[in-house]
Amino acid sequence: MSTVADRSLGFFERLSDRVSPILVRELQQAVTARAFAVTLGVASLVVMMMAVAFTWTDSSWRGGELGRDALGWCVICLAPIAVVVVPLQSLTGMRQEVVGGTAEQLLLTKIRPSRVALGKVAAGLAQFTVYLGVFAPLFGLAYLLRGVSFGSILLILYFGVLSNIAATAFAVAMGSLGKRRNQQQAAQALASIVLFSTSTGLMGGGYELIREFDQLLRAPEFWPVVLTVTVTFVLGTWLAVLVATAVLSHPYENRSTPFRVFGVGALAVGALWLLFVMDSGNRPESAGYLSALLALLLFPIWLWAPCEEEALSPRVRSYVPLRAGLLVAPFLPGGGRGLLYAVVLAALGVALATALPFLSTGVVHRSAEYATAAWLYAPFAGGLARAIRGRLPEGKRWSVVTFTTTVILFFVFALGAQVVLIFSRYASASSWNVLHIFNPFWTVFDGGPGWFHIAALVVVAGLLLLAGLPSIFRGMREVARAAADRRALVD
Amino acid sequence: MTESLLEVRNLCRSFGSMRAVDDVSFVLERGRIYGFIGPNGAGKTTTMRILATLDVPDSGDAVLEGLSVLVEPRKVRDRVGFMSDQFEPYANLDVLQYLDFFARAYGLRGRERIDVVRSVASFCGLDSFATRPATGLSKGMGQRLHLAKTLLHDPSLLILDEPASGLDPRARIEFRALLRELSAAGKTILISSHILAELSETCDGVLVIEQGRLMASGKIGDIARSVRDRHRMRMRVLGEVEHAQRFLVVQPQVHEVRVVETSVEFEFAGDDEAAAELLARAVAGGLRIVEFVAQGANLEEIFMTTTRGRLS
Ligand SMILES: Nc1ncnc2c1ncn2[C@@H]1O[C@H](COP(=O)(O)OP(=O)(O)OP(=O)(O)O)[C@@H](O)[C@H]1O
Ligand SMILES: [Mg+2]
Repeated sequence: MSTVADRSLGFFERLSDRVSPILVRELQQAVTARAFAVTLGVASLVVMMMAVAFTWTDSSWRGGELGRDALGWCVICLAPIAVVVVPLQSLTGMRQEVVGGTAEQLLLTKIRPSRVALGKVAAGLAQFTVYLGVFAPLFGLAYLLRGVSFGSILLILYFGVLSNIAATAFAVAMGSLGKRRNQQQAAQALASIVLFSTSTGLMGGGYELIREFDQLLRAPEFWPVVLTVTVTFVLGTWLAVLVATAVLSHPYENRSTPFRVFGVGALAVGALWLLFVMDSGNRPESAGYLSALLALLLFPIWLWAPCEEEALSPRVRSYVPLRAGLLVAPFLPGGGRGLLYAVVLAALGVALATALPFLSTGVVHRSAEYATAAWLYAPFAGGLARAIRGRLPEGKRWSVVTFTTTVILFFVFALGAQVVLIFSRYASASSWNVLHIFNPFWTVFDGGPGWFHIAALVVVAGLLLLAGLPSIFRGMREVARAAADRRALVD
Repeated sequence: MTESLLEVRNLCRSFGSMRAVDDVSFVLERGRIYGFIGPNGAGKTTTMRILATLDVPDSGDAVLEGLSVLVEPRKVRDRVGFMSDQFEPYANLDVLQYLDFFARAYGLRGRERIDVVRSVASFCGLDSFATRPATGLSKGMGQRLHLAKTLLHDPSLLILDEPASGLDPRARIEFRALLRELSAAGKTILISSHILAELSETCDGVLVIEQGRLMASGKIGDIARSVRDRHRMRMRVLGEVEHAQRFLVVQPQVHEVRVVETSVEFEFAGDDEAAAELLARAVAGGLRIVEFVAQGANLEEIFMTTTRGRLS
């Protein structure tokens, strides 16, 4: 029996001086856990059996493409490990920590919530790497049996790692969500469905995937595709980590700025992608579509911002940047500033679709109209949300109510307009009418919106913004005062 | 003169229409042990969670060593050890690994970390449990591990939410001894419990809360006196008990005298000064007194009187 006194620095203790303690702890747990040993054993057995089977099969069978078969089996076995087994373990771990109160105890330590989330992702990756090691002989065999290039093996490993990171981050975020039991179960169910279907898709398309990778390696769009996939995965992981961090953080910490920065960051990444990955011939057209797509994908961020409570928390007020000016304010928490943020983001989105292609190629494609119409919904819906939020009491609960109400209002109005037009003698229900302005999808994609659609949107959004102006003004003044207070303290 | 460590000002916290903490204010002095008592659902856990920066009040504030829990939660966390009423250690870790992980989480490194973990573990009596799985401990040992985890970063304020619930008498007595040592080492302790007898022996002061409102606070003796103007005294004498009884019934401020085995019990309405005089007169009157004790400081009585009829 070893006692405390005779304990010296062990491997893990020394390790945790250097890397994330969360990662070290997860590894320590995994090493002792029976489940991990069992899965690892089973995986090794499967690999061995497959290796034997492939070595004994006549290599002329299937026209010398046995290597491809072996690689296909690698994908089929590794896909569920990368996107189901490892992420679901992280999800369960996260959820147990939240439910059992360990997550809170961790928050009392010096570890920041973002580190907790990242540590879990890293631990997932470490586990997956062990599995990759187990499968290494099969990869080697696939290469020796011919039919696959070294490049496609590397590509598969690369995408495997990427999808494992993104899937684990997603799972950690979903595992942290939900205060009540039913919410947690809903989050877990949703995560399981998403991960399982992704895995099934990957397994089913295993062989196809390898063929496509082979072609991709020789195709001119190799780098654009790899870059695009990488960027998408990185953005997804970043967002998932932000969600987990926000959930775990102290309620008075600033949980808005990271998301608001993410919105702008996504546009910036889009701009870089257009400039450096897209060829200039296709740039104007893709700029419009990409910008419209981003407007849709970022909708939770730009709609949430105006839904927030108006005032800064005492905590955030105490560390507002000393020279917080007009540039910083939209990124600070608060609904009034959030409305301004929605406007700023929309302006940047429109610029991405118009100014960027115009400045770099001198051309603006018609697709920019889609983007403009789509982005106009940010001040439109945001203004509506702010008007609703302003009439509700303090408390985060009411921000959630505002968000859902705004979304539901759009549905109700869109349906209502349709019903009105069906019974109207003067207008046709099947062609666009100004009442359809509550139907973003129709408005944006009505055969490419004309100036009329955009003008109508500008008018509505403008009116709502006008109504929200006092709130924006209050938001700016609060920041200016908090900064002045801090400057007075510093001097 | 003791200095104050924590100042709680008009704390309020509601869950929907339910006021869990309602305008609670109090001050904790350095190096003292405070009992936090109240019926189930009174708002003890909610108050403690706010002090530990795990929840935020709707209004009011708490200031620890000049740091507001709302403005400087991170700095407050460095100074507070919170032992929640929930303890679920990580699976597949032994006791030392568990402590080592949290020590690292508190920013301790290398040799220092090993030393701190070692000393905290032995302080909490976990020496011979070092390699036991953290999830496989008995309730008593689990609570010791939980306490050890709370002590790792050497906090000045310990907030313990029902640490002794579910412990057997021996474990409870041992736990109490740990608390006394901690208090002697200068730590302030706020401890909630339903086991009142235990608190009355350990605590310097109590806070009584009910339905979110602070009903009473201060030294146990002071509250006892404010709750009722008399307290129970017991006198044991050598020889004739009836002799003592006859002496007492005619004394001022003495009521309800009765004989219990070899002692006399009575209600006394005077203060300590008056009690001393009474004792002097009794000795002068020829009584051979072996015991003269006030049984006044009775937490159960305080509890029942201050919270009577409003159990939620
Ligand atoms: N997260 C929450 N949501 C809703 N109500 C809550 C929440 N937390 C506490 N409450 C309510 O607030 C009141 C005070 O609860 P609290 O846990 O602080 O009491 P307590 O004094 O610790 O009780 P106990 O002695 O049972 O531990 C209770 O009525 C409880 O139902
Ligand atoms: Mg409680």
